[in-house]
Amino acid sequence: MEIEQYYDKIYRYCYFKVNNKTLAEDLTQETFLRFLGADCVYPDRYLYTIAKNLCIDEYRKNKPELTDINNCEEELGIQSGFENAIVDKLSVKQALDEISDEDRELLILRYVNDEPMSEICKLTGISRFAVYRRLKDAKSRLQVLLERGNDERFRNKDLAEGLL
Amino acid sequence: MMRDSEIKILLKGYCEAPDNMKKDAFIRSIGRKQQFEKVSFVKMLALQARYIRKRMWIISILLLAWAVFNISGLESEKVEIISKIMPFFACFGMIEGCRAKMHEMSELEGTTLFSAKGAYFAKMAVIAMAHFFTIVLLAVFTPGAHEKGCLIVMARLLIPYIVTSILSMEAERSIRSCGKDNEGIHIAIPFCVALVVFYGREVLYDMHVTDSLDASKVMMLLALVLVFQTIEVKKTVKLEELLWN
Amino acid sequence: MELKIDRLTKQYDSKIAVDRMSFSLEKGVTGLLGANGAGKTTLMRMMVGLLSPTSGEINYDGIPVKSEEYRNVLGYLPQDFGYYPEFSGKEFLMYFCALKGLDRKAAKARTAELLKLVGLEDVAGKKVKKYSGGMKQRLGIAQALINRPEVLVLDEPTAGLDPKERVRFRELIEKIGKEAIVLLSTHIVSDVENIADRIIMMNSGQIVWQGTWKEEDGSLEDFYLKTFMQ
Repeated sequence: MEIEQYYDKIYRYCYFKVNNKTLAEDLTQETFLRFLGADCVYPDRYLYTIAKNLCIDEYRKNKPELTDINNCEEELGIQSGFENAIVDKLSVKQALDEISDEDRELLILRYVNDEPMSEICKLTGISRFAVYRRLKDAKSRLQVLLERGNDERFRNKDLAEGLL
Repeated sequence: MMRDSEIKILLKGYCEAPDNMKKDAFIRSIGRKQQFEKVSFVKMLALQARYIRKRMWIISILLLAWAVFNISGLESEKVEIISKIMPFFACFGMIEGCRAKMHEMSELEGTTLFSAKGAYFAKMAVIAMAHFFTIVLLAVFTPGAHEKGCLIVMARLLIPYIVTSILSMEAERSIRSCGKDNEGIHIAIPFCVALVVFYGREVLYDMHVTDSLDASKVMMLLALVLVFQTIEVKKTVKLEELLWN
Repeated sequence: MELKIDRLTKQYDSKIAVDRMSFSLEKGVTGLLGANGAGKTTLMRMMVGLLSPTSGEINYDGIPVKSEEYRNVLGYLPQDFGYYPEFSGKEFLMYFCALKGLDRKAAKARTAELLKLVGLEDVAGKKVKKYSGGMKQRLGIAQALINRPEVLVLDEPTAGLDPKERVRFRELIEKIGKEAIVLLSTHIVSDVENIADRIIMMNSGQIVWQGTWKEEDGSLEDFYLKTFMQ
């Protein structure tokens, strides 16, 4: 039953690293194929490790952007806590790009994969307190970036309309 | 500051869902789960317990409360009154147990890990345990119980309960083997049986279960009734359609 | 991956519902064609372990049909099925997920996945009794797919589906047929003509004809009628 449980998690983990659905699927499957040979006590940690390494290899192979977000205007329609802004995918991507790899990893593990704190500590090797603090910082950084991105969008929109 | 839930929605929404068919094909190709976890008996019970309607628990609690708090105020022969209610109590239990068959879900249940037999008996077991527990408590808390001895009172409550249950199971089996399966039958049968036992009690009362009678005779009757119940359960287990599954 | 049926017979007093049927199924979609009363449902109920045969054997890769091991890889959609009246679509699937051995977390994920697959995610919270016939059928199909079955048995699965749902269903079955053994019964020829790799025609408990059918072979419907006229 392990594959069932972890497929989606590993997929999402890879997706945030490579930003491409098909590539993320392939990397996920490759992760599991490599995992099956081994015998281990903590499958999920091992899976994350394999996935991480595969993503790094992929990045080394293909430096250029692999984004396939064709519908950049696609709005996620989320009423976030700040100024009722509607956030679009591109803004999220841009904000995520500007966050450090380690912080992004923490965000994914915690908020996308719902991993418990204890797991995150073991996976990253950071103390519980440090994880907590860094998550908090990462969250506020993300928020700032999103707000800034939003402001820019509105400014650009106004500019465009002004020209008309 | 964004709430955790907001950031979750934001990030999860950003991520495109994987292709279902691709995932399915991959998981299958990896090879079948060679060892499926056999569902433990306790898990079975817990699952079925979750799907037993609340009204069953409420009735049990009300009955108990009525006895404990002396609600109706009828002092004389509380025990007598409660034991008259037992057939209907059993009837409710039977109806609850038959729900899957009633609602035509047992065919689907039959092709799961549990099997139809498993699901049915798990449900009946939960109900039986809950009812037994209620009866024990009733036996302890009913006013007038201590004078007669709790065990005797328990026996007097159990006997009509079990008799109803025996007759219901017998009736249900006959209906099943006839092949006729109407929804209404599963309600009507236990109810009719309960009525029969209820009125039949008058006769039984005169004949056997009176105060003046030996405690030992009551216990013997209970033992006899339990034997029949066991036979009945065994017969149901051996029921063709359940056996195969 | 082989489901072997060997001289399977089911007799009720004087009536023989299934008469010494023998065939085997492999990966792919097999259509079971026959009029109502031909014995299709009886055959299928034996194949999923709900009914005991009078004689004969059914085995899946050597595993007897009457075992938990077999049920672990089985998905079944009966012709009619019911549900507790208080169930919503989601609750219905959650219940069967639990019965198929999924823990709560896995059940939640799988339910969401399946509801999306059959297009019921918008009405997941609605009570099943409020569903249309087609929606209920789709729910039944979702239930059959919970444990990613290797053997999928569907009894008249297209009954009650509108043309659009029929198309969607065909596509789904085709995809599953690439990975699993699918047996679907129907009395509507057009349903199987396009999806089935193999056809078994049944009448009065016996196999009248079995084989593959391709477009160049002509109209399956005509052949079907002709075969039954004999």
